[in-house]
Amino acid sequence: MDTALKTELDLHRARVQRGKLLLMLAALVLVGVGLWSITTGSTAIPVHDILAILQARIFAPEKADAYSAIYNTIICDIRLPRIIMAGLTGAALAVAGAAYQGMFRNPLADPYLTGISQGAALGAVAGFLLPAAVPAALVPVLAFLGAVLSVAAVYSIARTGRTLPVTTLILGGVAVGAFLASITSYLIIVSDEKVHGIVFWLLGTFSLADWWRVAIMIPYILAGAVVLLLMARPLNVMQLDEEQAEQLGINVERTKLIILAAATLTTAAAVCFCGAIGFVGIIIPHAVRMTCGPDYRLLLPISLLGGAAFLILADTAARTIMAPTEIPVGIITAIIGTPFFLYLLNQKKKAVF
Amino acid sequence: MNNVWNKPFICIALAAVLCVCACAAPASPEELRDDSGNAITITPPAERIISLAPANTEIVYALGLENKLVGVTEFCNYPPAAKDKPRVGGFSTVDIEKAVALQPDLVLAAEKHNKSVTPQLQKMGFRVVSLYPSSLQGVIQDITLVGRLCGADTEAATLTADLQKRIDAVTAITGGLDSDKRPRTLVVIWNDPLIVAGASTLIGDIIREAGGNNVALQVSGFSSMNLESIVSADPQVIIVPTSMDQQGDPLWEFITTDPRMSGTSAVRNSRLYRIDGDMIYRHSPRCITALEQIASFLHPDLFSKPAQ
Repeated sequence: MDTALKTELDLHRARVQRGKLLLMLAALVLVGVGLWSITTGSTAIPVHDILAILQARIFAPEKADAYSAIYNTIICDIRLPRIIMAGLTGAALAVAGAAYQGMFRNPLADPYLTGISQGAALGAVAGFLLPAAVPAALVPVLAFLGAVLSVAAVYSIARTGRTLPVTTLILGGVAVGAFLASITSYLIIVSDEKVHGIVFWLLGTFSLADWWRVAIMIPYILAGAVVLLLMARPLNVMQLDEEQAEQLGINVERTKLIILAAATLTTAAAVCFCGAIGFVGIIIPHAVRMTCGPDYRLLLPISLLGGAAFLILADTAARTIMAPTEIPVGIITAIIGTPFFLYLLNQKKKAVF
Repeated sequence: MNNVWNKPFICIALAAVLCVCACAAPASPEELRDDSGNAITITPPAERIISLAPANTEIVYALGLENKLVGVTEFCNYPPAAKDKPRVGGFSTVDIEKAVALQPDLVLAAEKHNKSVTPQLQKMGFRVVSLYPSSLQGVIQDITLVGRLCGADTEAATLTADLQKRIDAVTAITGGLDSDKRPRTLVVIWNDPLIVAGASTLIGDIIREAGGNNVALQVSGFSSMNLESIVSADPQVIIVPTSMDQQGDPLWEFITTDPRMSGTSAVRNSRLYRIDGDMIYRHSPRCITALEQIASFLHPDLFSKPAQ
């Protein structure tokens, strides 16, 4: 009896230890990827110059002017905000995806399932089609509104009395999404000559990331991510069964509503600037689940860090592979993400069967 | 003994045949090809023309053939009279039924229609000619071609001679410029994402003939270009096409106010220019005016401001 308890405790300690290790590892990978990304670009800038510029900018801004103005601009105003924006977006999509999969108990769930991407796309396309006198900054605002409104519509369709059955939520999401997508397609067809930007937006791009966009994104994504991270425990319990979770004292309906709201805010804030970047919300949480296990207390933060690192990598590829031309980053996430995901799936199959 | 070359008559006859071949070869109907590489037939002269691109409409008007023009697109706004012609749809969204109902004997299409409208109309037996030149000389050739298709060779010859004279007046000055006298030039056509006019575009050719050095030659056609690459290419002149019906202009705002553009030579020396987009995008006679304007932007010391 005593030995059994002791082994249990040891096992628990080992698990906690392993969790801390994995978290630190993920954070290290993210920092490494970020540093590598800032030294990579279509313009070759010596690494020591980059480090010197960054150091000067952080510790002694007056000294930064000693370096070439072009290098300064490229490092601090083009690459850095872009990397941060890609990281924030990746983190938002991955953590929201992980939470959605837990809430729906469906491995294919991600925030796009409830019409976010279609709503954002419709808002953005409508923004592109407005007369040019309307400021361009309205595009992300409309995309954000489109995303939030479409989720609200799906929610009100799916709500049955005081409960929110996940099946009707998925079905409502598919129906509303298809409806919105058809309107978007129609607008694109009739817009004819104005479609330059729309195609890039729909596939996802960070090409014009800058500090003010980062500044607007940060509060939404931080707040949403923190709320989602706090949902780890209820999510763990909800994996059993909604009824059992209720009996264990979890307010399932309230949890679902909180996750829906937080995931919608983070995802909408991410996609309204850079378009609907696919696959991150599904692939990253699954990769993390397969390598680190299903405990949401670990799954959520590691997905967040991993999603950030993954999207920074993908965007670095998007801006360098065909430089000076850009490839929409959504294409990269699909091309490198899918084979990697299939590899993990195959490994998993071997382990289970 | 019986050397063929000794017989003057045969020599003269051969020479005459050769001469006729040399002169007439491009004019023989089987040999003519449009910009998509399709063979086209010249006869009979077109009487009912549909134009599927604003530039084609401008060419038809410039040749004085507007009475033969039975259909245009919604975007055909120049000359203003073109707005009163029957519309057959947008640029890429052509109403085939309407086009067929107008019973054209010549459809002037563009690159956009290569995979959709053009084959569809051709299958129905219509004569479709695609015009999308990527150089000023190509524009001259296409104007000649339209003239020939419509029995307006003389008008086309007069027009192209005049246009060629104006091109020559510019290139006589810019042709001999060394590369260090050719300002690094960039034509930006969209800001989100940044899309520029690269190699093998009419705009690229106009920049070269106007005495500029296009910094976007690494990309082909109208293509996106990294902000980072633009900043490090450090353009000395930036040209922004504008649309006439556009009041606010997000692209112009981006170029003039974005802090990341402020380090480029063009912004520091205020060498940012706007040009009527319809003039520079369209392979119409007006692109020669664009050439003259851009030459004066690039080399204000060599050119006086051209008359509008």
